[in-house]
Amino acid sequence: MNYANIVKNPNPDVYSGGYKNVMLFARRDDFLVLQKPTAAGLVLGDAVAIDTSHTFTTPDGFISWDAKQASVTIKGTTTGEDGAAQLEWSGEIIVLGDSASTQEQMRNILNDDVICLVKESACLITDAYIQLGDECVSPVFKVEFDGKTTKEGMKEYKVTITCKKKFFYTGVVTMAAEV
Amino acid sequence: MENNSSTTFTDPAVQEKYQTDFPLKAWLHVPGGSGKGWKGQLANIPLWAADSCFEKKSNLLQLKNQDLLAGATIKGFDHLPGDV
Repeated sequence: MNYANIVKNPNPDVYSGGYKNVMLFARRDDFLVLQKPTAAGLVLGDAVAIDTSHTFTTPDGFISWDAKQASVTIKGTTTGEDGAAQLEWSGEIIVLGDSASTQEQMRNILNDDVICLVKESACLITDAYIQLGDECVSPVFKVEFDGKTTKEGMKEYKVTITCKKKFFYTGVVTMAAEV
Repeated sequence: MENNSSTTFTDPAVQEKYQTDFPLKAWLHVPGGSGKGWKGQLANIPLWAADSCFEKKSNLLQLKNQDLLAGATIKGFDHLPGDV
């Protein structure tokens, strides 16, 4: 079955735009088990839903970067030729401030294999995360920095994430132990 | 790995049922939907969230009496009616 009716949900909050002001990510090497959609084909949506938990060995887990308010977005576009088209997802977050630690992390993430999670804004209803990346396809990161001026604005890093793999993750999120 | 099998969860029911190899101060989120999710430190997880965490195949919690349960299952098969 490839299609089914899409019906309107009477609760408009379900369609609330945007995402929580945070991005979670973990290096692929840090996962003990990186889950994938397991029940694909049984119900529509299974192919892009992960409901069993990614696991880590302590002290590994997801790292969180707090983002500027309302800066987290995900957009999708179609790429490829007719008949061989695919969806490509593009996320963006803005991290406020600058420091040696932040800059080093930004430098590292440019060429690292990580899995990203962002949280649905309708978290009291769906409580789901959007996962970008999987075992074989890593998100591609691009980082821009804007130091702004003393007259207006704050220093900020704009992080752009591009990936062809997007999932709805409802497993347990284990946070990395603070070191 | 840190062994917390004898240390305490704040919920006595969780303490009785589960053990963990993770630090009790570790943060986690158990998504639930419709306001049934839970977020906090592992030490403070309530039983319903711990059960959900376990069902979602997280490795944060293990049943304390897992070996005992497995043994009971095998023993039960020994006494199936008609078993030779």
